[in-house]
Amino acid sequence: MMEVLVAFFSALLTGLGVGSGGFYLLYLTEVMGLARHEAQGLNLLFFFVASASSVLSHFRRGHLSPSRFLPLLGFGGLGAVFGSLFLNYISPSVTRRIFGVLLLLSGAYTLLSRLSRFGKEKSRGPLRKSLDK
Amino acid sequence: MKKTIAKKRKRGERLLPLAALVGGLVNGLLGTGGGMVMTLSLNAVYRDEKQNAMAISTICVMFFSFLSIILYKINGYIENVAILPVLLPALVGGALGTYLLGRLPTLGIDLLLSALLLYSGVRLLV
Repeated sequence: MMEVLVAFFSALLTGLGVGSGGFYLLYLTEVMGLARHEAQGLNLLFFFVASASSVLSHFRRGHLSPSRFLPLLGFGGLGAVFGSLFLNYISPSVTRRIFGVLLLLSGAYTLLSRLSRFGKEKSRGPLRKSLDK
Repeated sequence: MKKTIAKKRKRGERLLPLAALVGGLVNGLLGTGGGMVMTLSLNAVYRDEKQNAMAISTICVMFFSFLSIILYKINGYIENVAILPVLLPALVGGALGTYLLGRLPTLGIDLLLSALLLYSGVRLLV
């Protein structure tokens, strides 16, 4: 049951565009006790499924223009292939540390950017906000 | 003013393939994190089109994940993984999240998320 709930909320955050892949991976390694690389594989599968419905919905709403994303798929695909192959030469403890740094950076960025946006919205005042609407 | 913004966007668009390369690399290596790189880069370029930026980021990372899954499988990292029990919650959660995108006040979510990210990051490093 716990696994289903964690999966649901992680996927919900994925749909909201909030970095949730990290949480599911953390759950798999720290709570479920899966080996690092196996957990990464499961996390990739999970993200692939969770984002499929999200991508369909974005297509239907007209948010996706092929001219914008197709070139990125080529370059990013190349990176993904190199990253996955490189994994064979890196120990799980190193990827764990890199992942930790990534989470810290992501957390700091989310916090700072959100607080600065909140500050700007507050300084604009209610009158300006109502004019903007 | 408009010209400057258009110029900045063009310059940013030229750098996006590099961001995608890094995003793909991170995603393949860590099994996650590509979305963070892509979302940050795309949001910086398409400042006034947040939902489009989010959509591009999602389809990119979905593709990166697909390629990585194939290579992880070849390398034997995906063997007896139990994806079936979480398949339905993943699909429903993803669809609901996309529906709620732009409809929810995100301040609370962002603050909670950043606290969790910082806590988890410290836990992994210490």
